[in-house]
Amino acid sequence: MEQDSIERTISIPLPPDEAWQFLTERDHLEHWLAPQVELEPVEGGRVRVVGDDGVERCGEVESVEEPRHLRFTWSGPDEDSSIVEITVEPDGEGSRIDVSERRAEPVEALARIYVFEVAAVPDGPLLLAA
Amino acid sequence: MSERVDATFAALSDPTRRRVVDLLSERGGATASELARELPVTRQAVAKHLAVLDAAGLVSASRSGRELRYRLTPRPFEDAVGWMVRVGAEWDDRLARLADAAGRYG
Repeated sequence: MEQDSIERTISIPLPPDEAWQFLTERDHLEHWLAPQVELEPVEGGRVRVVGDDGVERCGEVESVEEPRHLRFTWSGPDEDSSIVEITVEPDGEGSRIDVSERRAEPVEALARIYVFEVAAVPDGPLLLAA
Repeated sequence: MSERVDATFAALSDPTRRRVVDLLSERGGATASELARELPVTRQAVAKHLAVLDAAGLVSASRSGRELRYRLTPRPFEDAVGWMVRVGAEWDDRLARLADAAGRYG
């Protein structure tokens, strides 16, 4: 299992060009991404999102291929930067939207050992690598 | 770093505590009572294990009604499972809202 990324897929009943508006226009984004969203859908565009929890995340748009693909970075205070990638594919009369978020920096090797021990061998001996 | 690592290894040297961490990573958060239902130990024993994990900085508690709800702390688990649980849950919420908004629009 990839430890540093999550992937999600949904289908929505709108064609890709309309789905794209939901992914790039502020009025739409503020209905689903977060209560406050600034996202300039051009390469190098600024990203600033304030979540339900009041946490502000800032980053930059890395690539845009309207109406199929959007990639941006973001990070909150004390968070490592992560990369969000959204792709839109036609799906019947609607669209399939794939979202992934992955960390820009690899995790510490030691943290991987904890995870391996905790997740894979809950009753096994600890691997003492420290 | 090495003190933190020592504390972490000591806290995780117990199989029940590792199971507690495993359950917290699956659920995102739980009370001692909820954890005790999943484990072959009493609520009091779970509370003691949680106290050890708390002292090692691996979990943190917030009040939930009359009980404390425990979550994995951002670090060191933020470097691994905790990150996936948190970020995955955030996207589940966002995409549920997107599906809802797009459904109303379409």
